[in-house]
Amino acid sequence: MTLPVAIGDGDMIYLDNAATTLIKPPEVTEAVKLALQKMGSAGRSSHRAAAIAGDTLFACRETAAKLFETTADRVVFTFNATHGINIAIKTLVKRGDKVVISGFEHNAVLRPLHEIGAQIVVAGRKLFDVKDTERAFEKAIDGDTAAVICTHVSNVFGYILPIDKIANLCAQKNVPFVLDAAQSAGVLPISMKKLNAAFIAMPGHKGLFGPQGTGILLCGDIMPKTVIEGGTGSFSKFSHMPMILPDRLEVGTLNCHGIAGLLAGINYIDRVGVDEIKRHELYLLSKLKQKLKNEDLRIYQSDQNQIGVLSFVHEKLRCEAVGEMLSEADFAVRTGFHCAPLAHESVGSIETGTIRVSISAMTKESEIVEFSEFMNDMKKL
Amino acid sequence: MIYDFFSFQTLTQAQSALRILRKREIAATIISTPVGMSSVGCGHSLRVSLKDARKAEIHLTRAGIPYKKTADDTPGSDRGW
Repeated sequence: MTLPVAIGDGDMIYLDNAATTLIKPPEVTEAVKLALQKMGSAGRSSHRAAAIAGDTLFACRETAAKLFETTADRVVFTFNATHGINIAIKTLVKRGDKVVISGFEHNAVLRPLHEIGAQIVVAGRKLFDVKDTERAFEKAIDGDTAAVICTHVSNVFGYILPIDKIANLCAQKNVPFVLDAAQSAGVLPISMKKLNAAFIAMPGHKGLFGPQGTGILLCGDIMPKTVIEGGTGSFSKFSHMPMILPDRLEVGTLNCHGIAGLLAGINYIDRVGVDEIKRHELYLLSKLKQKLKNEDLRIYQSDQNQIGVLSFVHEKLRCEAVGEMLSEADFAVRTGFHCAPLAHESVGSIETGTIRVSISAMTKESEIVEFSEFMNDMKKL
Repeated sequence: MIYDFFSFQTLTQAQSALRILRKREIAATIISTPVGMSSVGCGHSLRVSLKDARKAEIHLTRAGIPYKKTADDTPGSDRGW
């Protein structure tokens, strides 16, 4: 049994980077391959294979700590961003607590809050309207707020929310701030120090170019609650979980092979620079907006406060039908609700969903041009 | 060679400590804390030669990394790993 080879492998134009980045820097693949050959289980033994794994974890912690302006012990490895968000929410929120969220949150935020039975207050539903978002958060946050949870960039519309302002409001009112950096890590500057967040959750497999099954939770000053318990390679005589990071949250054998790839991905970002990646993505997004000329398309776009993602609907065709046509022509996009129905409710696309194009640092201008030409020619098909 | 042991609460702390000592050219190795030397169970320690132990202590204290300094006095040990 071998892995199925993707249709059009090598020719596919991959524009589904908001789900996961498929095209990684080559060193990521190399790092994972080497890790599979050389690594034991980190933190469980002193032999060379375990030490290689342990050293790699630490190198990844240090590199991530530098990128996000925190310390290595506050960098916790998770399975993905959802895992990290769950830890944050289950630490800060209990049944009946008031939680303020933006109108663009993913189900990774909504579902755990719903499960807990939190009182959810949605603030700021006007797409690309930063001032309105700021005003709405200012109005909603008060002394009774248990937490504010906000996405940095909408995974449906690419809207960059004013997180500096929101974090500031939280600091003024002494409310814990949680940032969902699923779409922004590796693309926009993020500073734990400046935001003074309680938690920042991010996936490893999107903008950080790591493999799937990797994620990072940056922890602030609040000691997190555990969502799973087990062996940590430390304090083993005690039945309770260690009250120290990162061990408190990292149980069982870690995904060291994946983290080796994540380290290579973060090193790539460090080498290229977040500002350069941001510039590249903004350029490609403006190119895409400029090139898409099909009058049947309703495009959700803004000249400001948008990055990485462009959503649109076809006035005459269902999103899924367009997605199918694109797929047959070897363009990879995503259609539907993108696990964020709240964002669609906010914008008014809950009846249709959208066709979502999402780019990465690896996307080429020629791919954007080819995609736009195909979409513009769709009328003739 | 005779060693002293610096025990840490987590592997990450031991690794941070190792980084600090290496910067100051103090030789150290991360090992699993010998069971007889720990009251809390499994853990991670730095093995540092006796001649460097005092220097190591100063730098680790200065860096604010919590540690417990132990000599290996478990039965059967001659402190000479």
